[in-house]
Amino acid sequence: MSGSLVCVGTGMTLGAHISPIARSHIEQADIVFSLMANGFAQKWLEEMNDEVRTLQGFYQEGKNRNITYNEMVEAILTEVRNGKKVVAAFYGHPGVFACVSHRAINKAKKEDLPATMEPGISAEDCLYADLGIDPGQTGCTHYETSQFMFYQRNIETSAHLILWQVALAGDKSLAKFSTGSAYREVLVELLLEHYPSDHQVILYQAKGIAIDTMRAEYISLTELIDAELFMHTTLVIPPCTKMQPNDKVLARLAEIDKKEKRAKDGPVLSLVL
Amino acid sequence: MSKVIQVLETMASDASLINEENISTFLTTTEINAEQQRAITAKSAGQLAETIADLPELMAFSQVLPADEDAPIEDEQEDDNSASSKLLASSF
Repeated sequence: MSGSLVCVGTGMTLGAHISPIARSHIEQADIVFSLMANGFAQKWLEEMNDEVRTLQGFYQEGKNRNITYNEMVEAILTEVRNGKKVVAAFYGHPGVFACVSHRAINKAKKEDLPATMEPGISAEDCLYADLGIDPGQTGCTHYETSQFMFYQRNIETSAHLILWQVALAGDKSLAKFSTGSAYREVLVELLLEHYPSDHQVILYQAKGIAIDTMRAEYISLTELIDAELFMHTTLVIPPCTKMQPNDKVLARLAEIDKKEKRAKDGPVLSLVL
Repeated sequence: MSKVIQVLETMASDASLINEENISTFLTTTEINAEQQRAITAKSAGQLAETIADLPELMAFSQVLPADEDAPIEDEQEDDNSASSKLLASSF
């Protein structure tokens, strides 16, 4: 019998966010591999299926996480190749800041094994609801913090800038579980090229269980250096400038509007015989 | 299902359980112990965790790397020739 893989998201808050189809996949799987955000969620998952195997054991401080993630993919695919109906359950959304599920699905498809993804409620979704940010209002850009630091980026200060995994800012080794204030100083220096030092930024953490309190701590940009950060802390930088009109494009659009209006309002011609 | 996990699931999925009074009433109907009730009332995940003997401590990374590399890499964590190191170095 051919195996299959479904990557599902269980959402951020235990019990609040899981979709009916994700739950059904978990309940009907032969094997469920898991990466949950906390022990409560792991226990909850284990109540849904007797064959839950956590992938947590692959994480080790000092070990390159690229290796870790490839090992997780192999563990998942080994059981799919064995003909098992496999579910990989991730907290949040399985395809947002979640390379294991993307890698596993791509690899399965290359081997002609059926593999699909079911979305979940992500930390990003919770952030918009908890902080009252509409990404459509001024635009919004997202980066993994270290990637943001390592590569040249055009920073758009009239849009929200959201930096994920800020506690690992500047970790080139991919092997640390946190980085210190020296690394954050580099991040803050980079941001100070674009934002004022007293610009208010937000440290955000979504609720993991019902009794948690969502974290929305406003600090000035420079206070980030010594702030208390956790693996799941996200840095939200609101806009510090107004959107600037693109006069060239607006002029071209105005010309088109004018032409359309002339065509619409022009005299009606009739044929006189 | 573990009683306390069931309580957390219900609290997260029942719209009536958003005010303190309803939560207190609800807790009296559950079979969780007094210590767990106190932890929930105090909204202390840490205290609640201590009441569950085999609760695993998990790490919650965003599974994303500064330089993504789909191809499996060799087990050379300290080797500058690793795929991720090459990609990162190329940006400097």
